Amino acid sequence: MTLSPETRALLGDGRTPIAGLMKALAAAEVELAAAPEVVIGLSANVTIDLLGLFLRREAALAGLRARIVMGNYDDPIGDVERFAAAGVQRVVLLPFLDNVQPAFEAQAATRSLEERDALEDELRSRYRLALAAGRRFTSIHVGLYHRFGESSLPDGQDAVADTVEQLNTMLRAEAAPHANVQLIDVGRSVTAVGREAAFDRRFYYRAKAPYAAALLSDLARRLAAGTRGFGTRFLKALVLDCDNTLWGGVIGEDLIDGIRLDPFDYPGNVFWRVQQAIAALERQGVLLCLCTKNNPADVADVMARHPHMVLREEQIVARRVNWADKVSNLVALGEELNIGLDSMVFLDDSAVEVEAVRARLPQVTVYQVPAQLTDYPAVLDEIARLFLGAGARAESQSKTEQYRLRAAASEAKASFATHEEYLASLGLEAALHRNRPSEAPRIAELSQKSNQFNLTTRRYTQGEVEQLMAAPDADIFSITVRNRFGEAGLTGVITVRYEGDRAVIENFLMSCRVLGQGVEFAIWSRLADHLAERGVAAIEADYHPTAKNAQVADFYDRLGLGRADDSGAGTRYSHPVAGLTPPASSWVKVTDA
Amino acid sequence: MLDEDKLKQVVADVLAADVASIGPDFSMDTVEQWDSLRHMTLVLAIEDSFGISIPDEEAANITSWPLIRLVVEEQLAQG
Repeated sequence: MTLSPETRALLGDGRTPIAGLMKALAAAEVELAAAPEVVIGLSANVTIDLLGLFLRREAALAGLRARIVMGNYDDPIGDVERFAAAGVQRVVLLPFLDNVQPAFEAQAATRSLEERDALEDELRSRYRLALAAGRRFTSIHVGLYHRFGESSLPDGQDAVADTVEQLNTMLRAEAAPHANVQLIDVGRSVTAVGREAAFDRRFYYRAKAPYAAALLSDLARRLAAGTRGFGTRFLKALVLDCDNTLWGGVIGEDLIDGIRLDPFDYPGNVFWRVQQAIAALERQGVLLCLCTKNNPADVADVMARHPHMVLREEQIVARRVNWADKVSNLVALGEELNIGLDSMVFLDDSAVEVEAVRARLPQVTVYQVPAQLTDYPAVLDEIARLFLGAGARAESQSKTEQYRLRAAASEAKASFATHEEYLASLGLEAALHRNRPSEAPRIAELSQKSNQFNLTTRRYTQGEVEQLMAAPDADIFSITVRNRFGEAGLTGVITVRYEGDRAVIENFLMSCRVLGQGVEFAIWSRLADHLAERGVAAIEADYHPTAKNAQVADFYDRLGLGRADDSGAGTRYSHPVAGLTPPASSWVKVTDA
Repeated sequence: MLDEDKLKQVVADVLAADVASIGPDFSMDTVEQWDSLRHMTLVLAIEDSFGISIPDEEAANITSWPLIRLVVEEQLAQG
């Protein structure tokens, strides 16, 4: 089910020629015969078939088989319909400016502003319809307009530049209301590969295929990053070594005045720049951890006192500063934060440590500080793309704060006589909301991300969430949790479908951040009240096992539901609404907000 | 010097054809999967593998094995 190292090497090497790539892909897709399939629809006003080849490469590298569905020529609305019928999950919409009308860029200077506005209106209505019809797709990636030719003006601000700006403003506005739409800057790929290598004039003028292989290859890589490997990974934490990773030198030997971190002097300036980049990641929701072989007091001293230190204690959510091996420390960090090893990136300067982690924890993404120190900032750029390729979400931005509260709370745990006493001290409040459309984006995000506490792993797009909220025979309840340390935000979702006098729990999922505090049980009494008010007599609920949700295998048993049917792929439970008594969790105050 | 085996292999990989079937009669007319889209990929793949750039007219016209062979040989000689 996984790629052989030889195939992976061929696919991963950007220099593999096209013929070799096609051959390696054929082999890869045999090796991945049992792997999940991702179905991608390509829609454009030019020929972009070759993009399919590179997307298949990216999918294979992410452990998936991609099936590519080509759209018709310049028909985004019709394509969206056809894609839905063909089972497409992700859509790429690529408009090529110069072919919006024949030789569009050459016409730009002679076209009146009124004509340009009329064209904008026409394109706007097309995108509006296509994006609205595409709400069911997991993601739609819309290419921003970019130019084919170069401006002749010294400042570049010619009519083509104005048109690009105007149409991209339109695209941004049309994309904004849709949580599943992501804009992609194709112009950046043009810059990255160089204008000469990006386009193929022969095939553009003869066959309306303007993009050369180099550009499509780069674009496919960006698209894969933008979908987090087509939904295969969701990175959360960056785990850092200290000596020669955060600063130059060894703190235990060079001491605080000897380590290199001066922003005005090489090599300190490289480490300082890298720390700035790491701090920026933290600001955008990446969790920072330390995993380093040092004396804890030395590291704490640098963090607190070094005049050029960018990263400070409060930006680090968890740390293992000790002399134990890094493999066990990484495992421990994962447990402390309740995140999987596959959501961690580990950065270290030591080849030995990097190899040990790579060999024993292959799920962890590993980076080594390059031997050529001046290449180090580029490595950070690459790491940033991994984390942010799919865009930073506003809701994710205060994650560090939330995790830190959780870690602080777990440290306080030790000082209470009983676990209940500790829980009572947290001042936990859970609010149960019913059908709040403003929460739809976060509900969809949580349903896409949560794996461990997820009873059926039924996932929802924002469009589906909105539909269920509006439907007469369904409800979506959300759970918002706060404690005396702060807000944990929207951390749980229950979807209910009504069938006669029964309420079927289609899914129940919670963020692992708030587990173990009794909220997952406490809210059920309030939910039962809601259901009883509606005249529901019985609750039915399912558990579907997956590779990751074993921890909730007996959740409904513990909740007090009875097993009704074990025969299928999962277990069906049922219980009368009256008399549902969840395990005691009196320390959680449940409200209807 | 043209490495003919290598060229055949590229053609075979791109068109998903058997290397042994590539000969004088191998052309866009006789090979079903060789359509205009595949043709573009084929030209790019040949350029890519041999480090050459096939001029506009030839790129459109190399629709058979003998023509491919001829044009690639020419381009290599010029390079």
